[in-house]
Amino acid sequence: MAGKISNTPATYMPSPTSQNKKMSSIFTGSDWVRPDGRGPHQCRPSFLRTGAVNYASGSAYAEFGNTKVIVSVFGPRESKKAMMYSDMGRLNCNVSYTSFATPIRGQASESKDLSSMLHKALEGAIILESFPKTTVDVFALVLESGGSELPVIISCASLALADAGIMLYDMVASVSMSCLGKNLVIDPVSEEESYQDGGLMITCMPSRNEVTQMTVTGEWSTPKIHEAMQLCLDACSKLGKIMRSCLKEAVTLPQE
Amino acid sequence: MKENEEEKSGQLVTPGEVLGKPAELKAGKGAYVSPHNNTVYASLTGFRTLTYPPPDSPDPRPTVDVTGHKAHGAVPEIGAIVIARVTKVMARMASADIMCVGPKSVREKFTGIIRQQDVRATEIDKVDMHSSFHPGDIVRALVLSLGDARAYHLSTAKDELGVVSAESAAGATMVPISWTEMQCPLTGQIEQRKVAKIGA
Amino acid sequence: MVGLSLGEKNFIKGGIAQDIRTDGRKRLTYRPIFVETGVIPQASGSARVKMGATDVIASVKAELGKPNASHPDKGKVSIYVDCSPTAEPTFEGRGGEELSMELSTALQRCLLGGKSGAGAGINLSSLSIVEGKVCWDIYIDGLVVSSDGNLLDALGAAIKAALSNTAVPKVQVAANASLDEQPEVDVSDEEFLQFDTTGVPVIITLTKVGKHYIVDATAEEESQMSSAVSISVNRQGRICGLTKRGGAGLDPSIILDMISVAKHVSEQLINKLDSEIAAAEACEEE
Repeated sequence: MAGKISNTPATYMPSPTSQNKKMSSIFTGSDWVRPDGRGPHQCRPSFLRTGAVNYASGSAYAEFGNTKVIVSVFGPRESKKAMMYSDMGRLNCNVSYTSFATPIRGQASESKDLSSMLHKALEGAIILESFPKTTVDVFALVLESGGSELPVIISCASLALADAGIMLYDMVASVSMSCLGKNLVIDPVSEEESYQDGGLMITCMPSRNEVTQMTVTGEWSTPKIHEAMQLCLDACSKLGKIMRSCLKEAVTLPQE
Repeated sequence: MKENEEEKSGQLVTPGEVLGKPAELKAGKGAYVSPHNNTVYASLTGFRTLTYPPPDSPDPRPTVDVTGHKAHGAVPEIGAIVIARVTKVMARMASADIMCVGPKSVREKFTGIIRQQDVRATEIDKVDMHSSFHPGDIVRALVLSLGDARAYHLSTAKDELGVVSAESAAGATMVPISWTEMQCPLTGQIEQRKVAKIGA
Repeated sequence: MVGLSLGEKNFIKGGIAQDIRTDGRKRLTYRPIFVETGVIPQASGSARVKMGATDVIASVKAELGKPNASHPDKGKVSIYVDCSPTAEPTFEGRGGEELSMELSTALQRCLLGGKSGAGAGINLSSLSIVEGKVCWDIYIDGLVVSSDGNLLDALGAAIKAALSNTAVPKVQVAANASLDEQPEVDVSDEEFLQFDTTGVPVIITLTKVGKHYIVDATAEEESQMSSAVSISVNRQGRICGLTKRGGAGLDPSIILDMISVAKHVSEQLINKLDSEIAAAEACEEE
């Protein structure tokens, strides 16, 4: 950590080239330290609250380290006129970034991709039969992007859905993992994510022990996937407990 | 055994928490049975309540409900009685915005239509829409079906269904005088409506 | 997909449970694969892959471009899939957009490896010409001509075939260029370099119907799926990417089981594809 600071050039211009090389050697070496001093299998401190937006049917705010996300849920409400008739309810997801979420203004990309990932991760956990013909809208806004946004968005969205009183099969908890050289690090920050050799994200329903969504990028051997999945699932079940206690707190504490 | 159950009743649960086995419990509101591992789970956040059936019922299992916290806004469903405000009257149908489903007001707007053949139970081919509803009338109606992509199909073809409140041309709330007429208390003018029989 | 009757659904599900599918295949048997290379003369490389009624074309175009500031020593690869309305009328206008995006993202995830480039099927460093100045931009375009299920595997195979068909022109860099200027490059029209495709993985989609999972599902079988997992595996038997489709949850142990099945199936598929590609290349040269 100290080495990194002294390496930073004193000028205001960042020089990504020279910095990059040093960073990646720090990450892949055996005696490396994570940028925020965490252990490799330690998640960032998290803060979860429901009821962040008054107007919405349900909402939640989540903070994992520097990643800050707010999710509102609207509905169930009438589906758009252009939609076909459906016996089941529909889920509509949208993820957006504030223009100040990323270090370079308005750099946030792939939000369309994130929206469809969010949809896929949540759809399996919602009892869609409970609101036929209508749509539930889930809007996620990334206030600050500090790495592992998608897992945070997914967990936060499931909390918001529960807060809105939408019938769920189970809560949805999500955790990602980066592979840097030989090391597996859980809940990576943006710096680690940008140098990762491989990434793995698991979204699961902790109480039913079912995976609703999973993605893997980069090259993995089977034992490594086993290890990473186990670590992620453990973290998911712990996160699930935190989410449940957050929901219970909201009920027991009188609302102001 | 019974005391233990009592203790569990009133417990705060969140979606996905195990409530019990279907052999011992019936899933009520806010709960569901998962077929793959045969377990009753909660689907809402709220307090767990057990309702025991009367001792002579054929199914001795108590019903478990999860209630007490927020549930999502009311959604019209088939067979529900709704209160709606008429927005537009056409020759063959009237459209209305649903305001209440059963005793609950809706949070979001839902559109319904009352077709000519669903206005009353008799002489359904002779219905004149304009002498049944006017825009602004409050009607009580039954949800016939989820309808098409646009609107729910509503019906007022029962004595207790129809206009429950309407304003006259003069702006006063009219008084029902028969099942087809309402009278303005200010001018005494009589207007045509499909009137609901309240208190029947 | 036209709705199936209850009887047809039960027939499909029952067949899968008994390891005899409607077209007589076993659960882990592919349909016959037909590969044709060099189908698009304007592209640097192209291939057409047919699996039953599924028919896809992949084209590879190489253009000179400027590398990204964050990876100055690497070239760029972009993958895009187009779902043509000729395949299915619902793809018309914006109808195919969602599927196109899903397929493109899944292919990128399966073929391009991690952010650092490790595990990528295409060696991005080999695409660099002058560090930080000039590199090859590879545009891979997939086109769905006819769709009868298992599009992702077919597209993955088509891209693998198209890449092995790709010839990138040799580039001469003018030696006198100063450091700050954009160096002058001379693209040869006669000398070409063959693309190294040994590391390109194959994609295997396991579709879960009922309690069992099948490879190479037809559209009818896909309509009965609860979820599907696409796993890309390279020649060394390592996993290069994984995506899941379908909302239903899966037990983690089933996913691990699927991974080992995919590894097993991938060996056969890679060998099969290699021989098909070699045959297609030989056929084209004649």
